[in-house]
Amino acid sequence: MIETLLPHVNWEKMWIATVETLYMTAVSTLFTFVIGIALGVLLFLSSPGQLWANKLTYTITSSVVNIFRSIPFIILIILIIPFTILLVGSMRGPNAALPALIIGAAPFYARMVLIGLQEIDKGVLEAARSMGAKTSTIIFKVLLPESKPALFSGITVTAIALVGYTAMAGIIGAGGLGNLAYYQGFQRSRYDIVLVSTILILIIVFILQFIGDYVVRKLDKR
Amino acid sequence: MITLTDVNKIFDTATNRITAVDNVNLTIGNSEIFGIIGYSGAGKSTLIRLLNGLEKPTSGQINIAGHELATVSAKELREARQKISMVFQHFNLLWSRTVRENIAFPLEIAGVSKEKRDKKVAELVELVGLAGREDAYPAQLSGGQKQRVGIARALSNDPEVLLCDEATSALDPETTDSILDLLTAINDKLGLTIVLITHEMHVIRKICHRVAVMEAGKIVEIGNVLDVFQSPKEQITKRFVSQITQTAGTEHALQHLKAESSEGTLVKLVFVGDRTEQPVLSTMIRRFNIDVNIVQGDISHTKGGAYGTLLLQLIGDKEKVTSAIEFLHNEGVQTEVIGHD
Repeated sequence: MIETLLPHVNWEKMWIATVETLYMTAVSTLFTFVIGIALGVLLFLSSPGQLWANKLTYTITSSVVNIFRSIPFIILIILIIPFTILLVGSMRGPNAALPALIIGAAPFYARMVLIGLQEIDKGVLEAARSMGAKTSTIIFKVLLPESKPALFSGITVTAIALVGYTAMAGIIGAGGLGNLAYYQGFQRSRYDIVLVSTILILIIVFILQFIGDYVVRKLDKR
Repeated sequence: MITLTDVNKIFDTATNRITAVDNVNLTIGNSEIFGIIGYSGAGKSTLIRLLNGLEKPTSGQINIAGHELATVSAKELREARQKISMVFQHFNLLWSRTVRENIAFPLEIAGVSKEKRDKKVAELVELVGLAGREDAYPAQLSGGQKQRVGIARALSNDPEVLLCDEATSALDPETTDSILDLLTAINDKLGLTIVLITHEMHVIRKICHRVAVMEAGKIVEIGNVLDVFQSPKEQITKRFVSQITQTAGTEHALQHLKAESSEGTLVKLVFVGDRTEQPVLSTMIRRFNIDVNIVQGDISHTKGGAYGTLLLQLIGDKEKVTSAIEFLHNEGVQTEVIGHD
C-alpha cells in the first residue's frame, strides 16, 4: 500500500537524511547557544549605562551582529566557502554546513539574548552590586538565571530556523532532508520524496517547539 | 558609624546640571535608627545610594564603618558593601531563586560554605517570620513577605549598617507597620545602625530616633524626632508633621469652631513626653471649677516619647479660666489661646 502511494521513497535513505538533519541542527544549535549567549552578554554589558559601558566594544559587536544577521543565509553559505574548507577540509557533507549554520544563527540568537537580558529588572542588578557582587558573579548568578525563560524560548525559535537553514545548506551539498528533497525529489520530479521529506521536517519542528515550550514553562517561576 | 563631610553630588546631563545632593554634612551614630524624609526629587535616594557606593560623590567624604567610600578601590568597595546592606522599595528579589536561595545569595557572593549558609538562612527565616515558606518563589509571596525576604537577605552577612530605600512605600498601611516592627526588633536585637529614607512621616514617627528633612538636595532640618514633631521650624517640616497631626484640618475646623462656639475660651494644648501621662486636666478642672469641652485631640507615639495636641473649650468665670491656663503653663504644657467668646 505504502509502496503504491509513495513509489520512489527509499526509507533507508530517508532515515540517513533525517539523522543528518538532526545532527546538523543539534550541533549548530549547541554552538549557537554558547556563542549567542557570549555575544549577547557582551552586547548587554557594553551597552550605555551598563557595567562595562564601552562605546567602541558595543559599536563593533553590534555591527558584526547586525551584518551577519542581515546576509541572506543562502548567500552566506557561498560567501564563507573558503573559510569552511579551511576549517572542515571539504565543502560537502553535514560537517561542512556547520560553520555557515553557526555564523548565520549565532548573531540572530545574540539579539534575542540581548532582549532577554534587557528585560531583567534593573533593580535586581543594582541589588546584586549593592551586595558586593563581582561582574562574573552578576553574569552567572543574576543575568543568566534571571533571563532563562527568554534564553530558552529564543533558542527554540533559533533551532527551528536552523532546521530551515539545514535544508538550504542541503541544496549546496550538505546532505540531510533538504538535500534529499531537492536532488532526489524535485529534480527528478519524484514528488512523493518531497512530500515525505517535508512531513519529516515538520515533525522535527513540532517536536522542537514542544520541548522548547515545556522547558520554558518549567523554568519560568515569575 | 557614618560621617558625611561636605558631600556634593552633581549629575550632568546633555541639557542641564542637577545638584542632587548639595553640601550635606551628617553624622549618624552606632545603633541609631536615622530617618531621612523628603518629597520625591529632594535628593534622598541619591544620598542613600552614596552611602553604599552605588554612586560616587562629586566632592566630599563619606566614612562608613571605617571605609572611605569616596576613594576606596573597587575590591575594597565590594568588601565594604557586604557590611552595608540595602533593602529596596521594590524588593529586587531574584525571581528564579526560592526564598532560601535569595537569602543565601549575599553569602554565596561572600564565599561562605554551603553548610554555614544553610545554618544562617535557617536563623534568618525564623527571625523575619517566614518559617515554612523557604521553598516558595518570590512570585508566590505577598508584598510584605517579599520585603521580609529582602530584609533577611540584607541581614545575611551580619552587616553593620542597614540602608532602607523607601522599604515600606510599596506596602499597604498594615503591612508597613509589621515591617517597621520587624526593623525595630532587628535594631534592638542586633544593634545595627539603620538609615531609612521615606516620604511618610508615619514611618519616621514610628521607628526613628532622629530625622533629617531634605529639600532640593539640602538637609534643611535635623534633630530628635520628638523635638522635630513638637516644634518644626521649616515650612516643609511643618507640612510633613501635619501629615500625622493633621493641623491643616484643624486650621479649617478652627474657623468653624470660632464661629460656632459662642461661649468660653478656645485653647490649644501641646503635651510632650511625660506630660501626656499625667492627669493635668482633671487637676485643673477640680482646682478651678470650670467646665471643659474637648473639641479635638490626638496623641502620636514616637520612639522618643509621646506627643499630643488637645483643643479645649474652657467655660466658666473669666478669671478662673485665665488662672487655669496659667496653671497648665506652669505644669509644662504648651498652651495657646485661639479664641475668646
